[in-house]
Amino acid sequence: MGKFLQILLVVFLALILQVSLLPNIFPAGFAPNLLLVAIIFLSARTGFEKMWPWALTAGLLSDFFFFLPIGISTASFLAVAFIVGFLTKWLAIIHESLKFLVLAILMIAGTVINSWLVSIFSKIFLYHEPLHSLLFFSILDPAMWKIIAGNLFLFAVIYTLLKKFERLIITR
Amino acid sequence: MSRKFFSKKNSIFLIVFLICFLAAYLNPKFFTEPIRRGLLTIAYPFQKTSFLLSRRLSNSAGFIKSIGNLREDNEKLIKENRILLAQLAELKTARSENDVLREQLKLAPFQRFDLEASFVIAKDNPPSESWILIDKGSARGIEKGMNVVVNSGILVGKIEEVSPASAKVIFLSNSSVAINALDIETGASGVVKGEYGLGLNMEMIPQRDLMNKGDAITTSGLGEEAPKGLLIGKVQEIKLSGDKLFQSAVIIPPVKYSDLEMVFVVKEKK
Repeated sequence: MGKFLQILLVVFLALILQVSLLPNIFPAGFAPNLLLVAIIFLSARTGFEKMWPWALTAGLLSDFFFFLPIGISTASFLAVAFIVGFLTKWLAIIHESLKFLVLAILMIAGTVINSWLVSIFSKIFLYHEPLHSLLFFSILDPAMWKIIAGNLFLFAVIYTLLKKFERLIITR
Repeated sequence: MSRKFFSKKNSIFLIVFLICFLAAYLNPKFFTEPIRRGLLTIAYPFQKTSFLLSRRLSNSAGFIKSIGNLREDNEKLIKENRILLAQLAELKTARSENDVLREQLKLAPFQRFDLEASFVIAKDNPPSESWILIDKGSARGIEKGMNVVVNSGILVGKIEEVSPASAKVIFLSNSSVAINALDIETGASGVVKGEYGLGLNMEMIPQRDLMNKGDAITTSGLGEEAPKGLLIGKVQEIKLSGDKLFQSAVIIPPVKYSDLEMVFVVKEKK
């Protein structure tokens, strides 16, 4: 119960930052998805088994905060955590120096998968669009690349900070 | 193979994913709406503080960024007229404070409508950016369906959901919005619809009606979903519909919805 409340509080605060702080700090269209970046990053580090309660809570609260039918962001976050966890295991033997590059690629893949799933689910459950329209999704859309750029920027910041933090702990 | 497929990890994923899919399909609003309203009420003070803080940060960053440009402009102007430049700089400094707020208050159509001034406290994620959250709710008489305008009576959206302290405004670019509209230059009429948060389209314009690029489009007042005479945008492009019975036009709004800081909710016509 204590662990669940801890997750709930962290996700709640992250969502406040995401809807009320990041859109003003980043240029229009570039605001990163803080929760998605965290889920991709942590899924790559810890695996799906440890991350799924976080993905579930983050998805549920995102659905509430972003006025989406319950389940859209939740399903998408779970799928992203699952796929990233799977890909990380598959790429487990990578060299330390390539870790940043691989994580950045996973970040791009996770962002595209999340945008694609949220777009499809929104069309089905929110706009009740005909099925043939679901295929229309282009990763070449400039809006998509803005989101990827925003997420990559945030990931680079988090990664650098964590590396410095880890080094500090080790040297002590 | 099947044992591997139904491992604990895969089973958790499949079960929770299917439950989410079912929940999204059923969309039990009677259950989720009270929770959403409760969460928004709890989040309200945090969102307001966080939004105001980020606006300050953003304005400070913008000010620092503009120093370089100002210096360049100053050098050019000094060459033209040193005295005039000094006077202009003083005026600019004095006028820059609360510029947005003053402009809104001065130009908002207070004479025609009972308006509730509200600050934006949260925004939708890109790329859709199809809604904002404002800091006034049912406690201040805001109701679902009310229109939302900015300076000079530019219609930007509608109230879609209300909690006691805040309200969700969906922009005209949201695909659930449809408003009867009129070309004020030629009188051509049609319906303005949102395009998944990406833009505005005026549809169902009879083929005989004349429209020109750059014409101003306003609400027609038909259907009573919006009062007559609120500006929606300008015509950018005119096309024929697939069946060639109607015309459609791409409309460009005069304000960038994602940059809004303050809006006015039209509570009722005076």
